[in-house]
Amino acid sequence: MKKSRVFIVFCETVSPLGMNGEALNKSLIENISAVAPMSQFNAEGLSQPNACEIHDELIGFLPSDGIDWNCIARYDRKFALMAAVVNQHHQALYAMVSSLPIERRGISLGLGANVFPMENIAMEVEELTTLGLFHTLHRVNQSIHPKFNAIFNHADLYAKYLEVRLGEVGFSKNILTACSSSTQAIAFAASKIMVGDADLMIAGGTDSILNNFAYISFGKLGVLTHETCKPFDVNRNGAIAGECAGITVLVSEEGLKSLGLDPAFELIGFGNSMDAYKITAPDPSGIGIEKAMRKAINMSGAKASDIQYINAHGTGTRSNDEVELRAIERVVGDAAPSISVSSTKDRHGHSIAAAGIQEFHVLLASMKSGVVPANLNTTKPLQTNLRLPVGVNLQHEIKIGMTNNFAFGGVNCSLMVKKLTL
Amino acid sequence: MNWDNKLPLNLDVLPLNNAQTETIFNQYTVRFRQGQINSDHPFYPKSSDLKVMRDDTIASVICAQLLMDYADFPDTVKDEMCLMVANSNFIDNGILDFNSIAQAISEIQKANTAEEKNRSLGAEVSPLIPLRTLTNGAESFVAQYTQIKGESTTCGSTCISTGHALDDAMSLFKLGVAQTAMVGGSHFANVFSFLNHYLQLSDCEGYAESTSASFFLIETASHANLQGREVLLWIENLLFNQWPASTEKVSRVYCGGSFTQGDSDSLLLRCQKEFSIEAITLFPFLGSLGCSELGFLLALADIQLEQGESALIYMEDVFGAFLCLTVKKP
Repeated sequence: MKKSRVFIVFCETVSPLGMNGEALNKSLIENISAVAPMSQFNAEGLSQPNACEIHDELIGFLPSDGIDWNCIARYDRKFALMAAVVNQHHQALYAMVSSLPIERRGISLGLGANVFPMENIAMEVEELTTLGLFHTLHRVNQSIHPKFNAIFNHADLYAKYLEVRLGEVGFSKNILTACSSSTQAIAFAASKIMVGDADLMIAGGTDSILNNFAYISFGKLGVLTHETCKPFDVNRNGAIAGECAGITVLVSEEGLKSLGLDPAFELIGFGNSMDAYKITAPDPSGIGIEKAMRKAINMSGAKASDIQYINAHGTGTRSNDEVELRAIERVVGDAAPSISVSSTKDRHGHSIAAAGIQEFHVLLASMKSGVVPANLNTTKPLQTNLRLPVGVNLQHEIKIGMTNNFAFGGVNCSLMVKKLTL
Repeated sequence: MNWDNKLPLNLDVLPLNNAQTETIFNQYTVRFRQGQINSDHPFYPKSSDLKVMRDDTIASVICAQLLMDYADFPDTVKDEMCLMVANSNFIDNGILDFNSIAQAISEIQKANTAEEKNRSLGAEVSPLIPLRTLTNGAESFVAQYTQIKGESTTCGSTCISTGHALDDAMSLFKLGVAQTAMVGGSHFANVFSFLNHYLQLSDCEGYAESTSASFFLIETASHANLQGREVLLWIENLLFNQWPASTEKVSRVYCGGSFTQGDSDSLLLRCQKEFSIEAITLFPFLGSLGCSELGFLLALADIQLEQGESALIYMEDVFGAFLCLTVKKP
């Protein structure tokens, strides 16, 4: 079948790098890192007291609608983050969504597991039984979402909120694949347009692990650094935690006509694969990563050598970075010296299920500005013939870019974007 | 959309204390079907994996291996095959770790400083918790045990998510990215789940749910023909929140269930009224099947349909979103 083209007409995030695209772009150009002492909870005594948090006063970006957003931000931060994105851009999003019939529009969101801030819960629990814990969690949940009649910890909450604010859609779905969730949410949203099932898709995701229970749990898995996050460094030893929410709007050619917009970017390909190796570690051969990237390139119709920048998953962990780098080298072959590769997780942190939308936004910003963000903390980079900017940003045109995300469980996902000449 | 109309949640019924919560739980005849899976089963997971698997993940792994054993695909097919999994238990993750969580809470309550709280939480929280609560855990283990390595994802969280998983696989077929896929889902029946639904349902009398898993294989027509495979059902149409243009040729209707007999009966009646055909549901036999339900209904269609007959599968979620899947026996 001839696949329909997918145009990117909107992308915004709230992230540690800024509350909108303009702020994000500025922080990328000025090489600003969001790493700072944790304020969401008292991290005293923890080996990593720093994280990448949204420092702007979040409440100021949330709607004044009688809802206790302070409470939501405290207990269900990722819901508040998503609401902040919608609220800031409500007019533009609503206008886009309402321009197309309900059955031609959909939602595809990537979400992480719900983990309550245990310190707050501990203060509420009266009786330590299963029923006692349920009772407390539900009471807390009711105080968080009284206006939404939300089912306790339900994934559909987020898409339903978007429908409440932006209008009903023909279908909505959630992708729950840990760190590749929102990358896959964008990929499968694109597939619905490519096969002609939709003309407009709202895609993205939200996540935050900045509460003591989630943060300490991840820390115990050994994925968080005790020092600084140094992607692709010989001495890398872990990721730094982050948080983010974001939305992109993808439309078909028909959708473009209805909206009357000139898009700046086209999503030209995606690829997914499964390592089928281990739940906690990528396949050290990197075959799965390679396969996802090759699939995205094949779908795009471009050549690997046409790619000018890859925003890598680059968690800064021992298990990921070298495997990813070698997989990229195999995919691009002789073109390696002309391809820039960097990870921006050292400056905005690892936002888990929202990493995909965070880095998709970074990729678009880089393609727009021609600024390739450097690996900020890397001092002794892994040997490679790829262009791996260290410390100082590169400046060059990016006509075709790629972004990678991989997840616990073995899912790999790559997206390819083309800059359109207006 | 007005959520207040979608969810009949009544805050007044929220129990005031733990004893009342327990009373409510005990007053209903709650049926959880969690039949023991024999650990001697040839496809039972390795003991080293069991510590990070819920019962529904174990069921998924066994079910998927049985299917792959039947299909006997070569490695070249498995390398490119899709694995699309749905999980209806997003809300229930973590319950297996209650004892660990309870201990952590207890320690936090006793702590006097932030440092003490963090230290005691760190001491009590197992690194297995994030793995047990990993939303794509079933997908990951199914892939490891079957060696499916193509496009792969997990959709969640309501029972119609399996429809989304199927829809994504079909999109990949249309794009020429894949020709075969394993699609399915699982459901984990537990006390948390009941209590959640107690707050949403108007009456929990006859509440029943099952820990279950179901998977099915789909292929493009050309791939199935090439393999000389017997086609059990053709997928004719899959719609979300839309009725099919015509149901004239549909000879049977299969209807998804809800969580109670009463709600399932009313869903069945609405379904019969809409399609003017007596509908069949599995609820009286199996209870709520969550994300595993679609596979069970497809199996029923395969068994009951005569050659050339078509069936419509109708499923609805708690928010009122629905799917209509039309299948035909070749």
